[in-house]
Amino acid sequence: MSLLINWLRFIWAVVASAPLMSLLNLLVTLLVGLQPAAEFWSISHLINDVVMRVGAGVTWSTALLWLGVTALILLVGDLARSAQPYLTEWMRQDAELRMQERLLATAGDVPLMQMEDAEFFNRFSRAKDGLTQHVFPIVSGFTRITQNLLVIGSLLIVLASTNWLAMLVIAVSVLPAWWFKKGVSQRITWLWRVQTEEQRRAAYLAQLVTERKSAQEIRLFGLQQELLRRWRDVTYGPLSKRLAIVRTAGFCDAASGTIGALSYGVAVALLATAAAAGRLTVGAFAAAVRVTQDFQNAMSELVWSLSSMHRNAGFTIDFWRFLDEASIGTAAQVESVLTNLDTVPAARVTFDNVTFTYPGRDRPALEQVSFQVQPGHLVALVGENGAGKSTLVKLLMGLYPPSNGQVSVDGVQPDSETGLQVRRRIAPVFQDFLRYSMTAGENIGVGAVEAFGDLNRIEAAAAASGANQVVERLPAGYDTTLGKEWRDGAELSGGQWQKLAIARAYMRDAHLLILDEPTAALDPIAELDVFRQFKQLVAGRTGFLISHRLGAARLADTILVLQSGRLVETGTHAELLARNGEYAKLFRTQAEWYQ
Amino acid sequence: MSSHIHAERRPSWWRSLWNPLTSPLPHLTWTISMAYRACPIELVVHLAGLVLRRVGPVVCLYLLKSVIQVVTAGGSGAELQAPLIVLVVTLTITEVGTAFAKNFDTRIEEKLAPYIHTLILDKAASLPAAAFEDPNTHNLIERANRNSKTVHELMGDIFFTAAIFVQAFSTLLLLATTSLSIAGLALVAAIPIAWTGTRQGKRMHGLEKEHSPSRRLTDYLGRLLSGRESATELRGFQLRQFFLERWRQAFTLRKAEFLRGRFLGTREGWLACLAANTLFGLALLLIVDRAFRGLISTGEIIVLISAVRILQTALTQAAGSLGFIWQYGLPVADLRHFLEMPVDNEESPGTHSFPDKLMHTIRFEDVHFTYPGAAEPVLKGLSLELRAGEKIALVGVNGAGKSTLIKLLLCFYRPTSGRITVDGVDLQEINPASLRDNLSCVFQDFLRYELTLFDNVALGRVGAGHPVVESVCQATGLSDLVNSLPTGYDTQLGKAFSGGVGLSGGQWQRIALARAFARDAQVLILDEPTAALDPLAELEVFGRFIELVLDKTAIIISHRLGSARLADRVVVLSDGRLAETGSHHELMAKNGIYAELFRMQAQWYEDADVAAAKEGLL
Repeated sequence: MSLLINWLRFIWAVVASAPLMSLLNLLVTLLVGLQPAAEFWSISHLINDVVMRVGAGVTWSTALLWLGVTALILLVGDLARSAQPYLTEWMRQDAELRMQERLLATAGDVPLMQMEDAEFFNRFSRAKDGLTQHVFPIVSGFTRITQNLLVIGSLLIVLASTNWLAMLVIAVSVLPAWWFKKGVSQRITWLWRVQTEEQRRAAYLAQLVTERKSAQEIRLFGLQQELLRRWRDVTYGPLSKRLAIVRTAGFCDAASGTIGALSYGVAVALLATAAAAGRLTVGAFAAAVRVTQDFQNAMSELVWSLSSMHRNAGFTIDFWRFLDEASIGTAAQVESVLTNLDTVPAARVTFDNVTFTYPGRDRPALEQVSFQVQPGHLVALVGENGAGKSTLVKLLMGLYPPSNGQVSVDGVQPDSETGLQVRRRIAPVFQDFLRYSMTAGENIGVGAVEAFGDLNRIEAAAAASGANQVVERLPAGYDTTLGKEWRDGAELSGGQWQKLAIARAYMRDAHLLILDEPTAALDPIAELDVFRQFKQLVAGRTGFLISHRLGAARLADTILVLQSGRLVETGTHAELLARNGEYAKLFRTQAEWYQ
Repeated sequence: MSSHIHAERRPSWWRSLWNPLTSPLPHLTWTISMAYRACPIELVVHLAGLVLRRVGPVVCLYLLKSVIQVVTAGGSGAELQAPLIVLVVTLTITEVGTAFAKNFDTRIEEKLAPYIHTLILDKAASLPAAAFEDPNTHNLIERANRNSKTVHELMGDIFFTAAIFVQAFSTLLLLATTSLSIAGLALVAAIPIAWTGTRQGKRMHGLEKEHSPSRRLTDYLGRLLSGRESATELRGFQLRQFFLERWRQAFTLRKAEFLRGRFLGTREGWLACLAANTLFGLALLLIVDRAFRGLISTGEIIVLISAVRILQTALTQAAGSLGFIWQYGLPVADLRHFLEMPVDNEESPGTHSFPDKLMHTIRFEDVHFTYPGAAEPVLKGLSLELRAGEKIALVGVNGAGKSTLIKLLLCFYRPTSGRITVDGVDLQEINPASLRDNLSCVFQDFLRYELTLFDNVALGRVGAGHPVVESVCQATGLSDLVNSLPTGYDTQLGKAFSGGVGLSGGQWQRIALARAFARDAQVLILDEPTAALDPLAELEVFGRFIELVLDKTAIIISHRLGSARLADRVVVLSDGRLAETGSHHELMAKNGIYAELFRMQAQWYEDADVAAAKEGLL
């Protein structure tokens, strides 16, 4: 039942997204669907005329009239039929646009927390693949179901007058087929859901073999054959399960085909008996024999489309479930409402007893962290890998909600609905910043969506960050397309991309800046460059800096030392060295290299 | 001369039909042979089912004629029995054939996809590492991957078309037994339909091919919106709405392209339909005329009308499938092109094997190297000697040629000129397997396999069992990590699959180290391993590494110059050449590039009063 509801909900969404096209489609479907009945009517007249003419004196002109009518009916039906692909394509495109948009909007809006979960991607890829692979069948399936219902309905009406029993026999004969198909498609949907992870695993292994990123390591270790072997295991295992279902389905199809053939035989026998007994005109009998096959085809096609509707409806369940369960985010509503931002030059940051645990983990990543940062101060976050530095920064940006306690930036909780006004004024330079396959200017422009096309502001940001030196060397300057995604995309070095990422932060009218030191290897000169640019960028505003080079922490007004999720030390470089605690230990270890 | 050029510019149309780049026809036999190799039995059954499905209705029509004749002649039920039984049997065979055709098609689809995919992966695996630096290879693989399914689709269309031709032929035969002129008319009607179908296929191919820019743009933006890698930044910069808008624009553009293609097709389709229906109208006229003249019986009238209709439907379908052959034939050409691409495998078979024990040196002799397609050489006459058992630190700014040197040593590339020798034997003459066994490397961007911990280590030496993995893990200090994981060695790592445990950069790094040590190599390379490590972890990795390579030859690349002091010798590369070499102290005393880089980093850790000067620097 929920299957039907989900399917109807989907169809309704399609119709709502293209009402005019749906209407036209319905009209054309009507013409195509009523054609067989009309054909029966005109052909039976035509034949009767011709047959009677042999006996009595019917003129050529009446025969010609029926001939013309028959030809016209055939022509109109054919014309309507050849317009169907166009109309269906239109509906499909509109539906895909609307559905994909909802899906992507939701995926883009899902809280980051949910994305930490592998199950999220399982569900997303099920919903998305289901959509791309099944939208068309659903749209065209709907049209086909309507059409076949029309064919069956209209033929039943005109044929019932010839011999209702024959029609009943045929109508009943499709029931077993319907029942078989339903069972098979349920099992296929279930298998698809169960096998999503295996399929993703196969895709992952295939990716290892074919991607540039892994090419060297795999060849060094000679792993090609081993990975292929594993790929075969995860591919062929599920395959044999699917084939077993297909085999069962084959027998069911053959059985229902046989039943159909027998019932056709019975129907023809009944019609023939009636005609022989004179209860049926010759024309009606001949035409009935002809369209009975249309009738039967329509019946089995109906069963076929109903069963694929059944299967496709299974995918609509995945689709709606993803949308219904994932849309907890609120970014969409707020983004459109928000107009003006406050203009405090530097942010005040407060962490009040903040604890944060990743979903599905026992141990918190941050535990009872409290501190305050004055406007205009530069804070360095220091600690071992996994101490919670990146998590803290993500809480600060409102990407994760604290499990306990409160984060506030200028008195606003950044993860709340109103948090957007502070989130908009945070300029982050991410550790794994994105390398957009877009133009150089756009790569900088994304830093401030509202000024995306503002070349003056982009140039200013580039000049301030030193990214202009990178851009100047590109063949088409700011209009040069970057990245390997496109054939003519220019490729940049890691250091050059880093400069664009910093320029991105310059685009924002920020009161809080964050630099998460990149993982990419930077030589000492490039490294100094990054810190110099960040220091310039911060000037007068509040800044957070994560760096593994403790020397850089000396630049900060305050150093926060984290150790397995807890804030263990706070102070300036000198204070912390004097204290001789965790920071002093880390600093001396690193300094030792350079004594 | 000019006539020759003219001939080249305008190849005759029949020659262009056999051009593998513009026509699908040369790929049809290839497609069928692929399907036959993947699943021969299924293929034969499918084809047989298709033919039954198509010929059955024509035979039934013929049988119906006798049924109708009996009825119009006022025959009894007993007379009807024989033709009815034959009719039902024929129909049953047809229906079972149809069921089998559909069913075996699904089986072929299921079996063919992994078969083609295996070929693609095998091919990709056989390409040398250097091929992957070429974006062109990347495009080819991507296209081959996307087109792997079209083999099945094309096969289906070829068979479908063939079966329809069989049907059309048998229907024509049936018509011809009654009236040759009607058969001729029906045949002529086929021409416009086939013509428009082919044209539409070509048009839709142009729209649907994967490298159509609008499609790639929508795909890329979709990935940005939904991908894990982009999730953080998208939210940090509040870019969702913006990219969604762009996606919508790109999609709308694509939609318009598609609809235009369909519109043109429909317009042509209508013209063809009008032409064909006029001819069918004429055929009907002929039938009625003959009936009037008493040349044909009532049964024959209905059979003729039905036959003409069957023929018309079949031809329309044939036009569609001919179109699909054009639509799918060319993507299959892409796939075939990739699979049949000659592998430019530079690996020579190698007559020598790596020395059992490296005795003397690995020597770079005036090595020059330019990446294929690049204008500037990266190495410009590098000469360098690594002595057996020596630990070398390789230092230089980004782009100095450090990683390239490693790639040449690992035989991913050949020097453009000059040579590399191992105890006097040219590296190119050593057989690749023995070379792999003796060289190991932790790459800068090492892989984080989304597999179990055991696999992550054991992949360093395919076939390694538990004893090897456990001893390696112990040696590289992974035991604590193993013990802390829920299911020890069998724990799934990474977040991509359910049950997976996410690890920190340092933990992954240690696993990569263990993987490199899983093989008993004589030469070990550690390429910039510390980027994601905190100072303590860094110290540990280096300490561990030095300890583990005590009796081996080792190369360390690091931007943390402090670590260079652990090496026996520092080698400084600059602009593709050897700039300086010597111990840390010698190079500091020399006051060259190394000393400059070292001081630049050391100042981060100088005393407070010196730091004041540094503030000025920043």
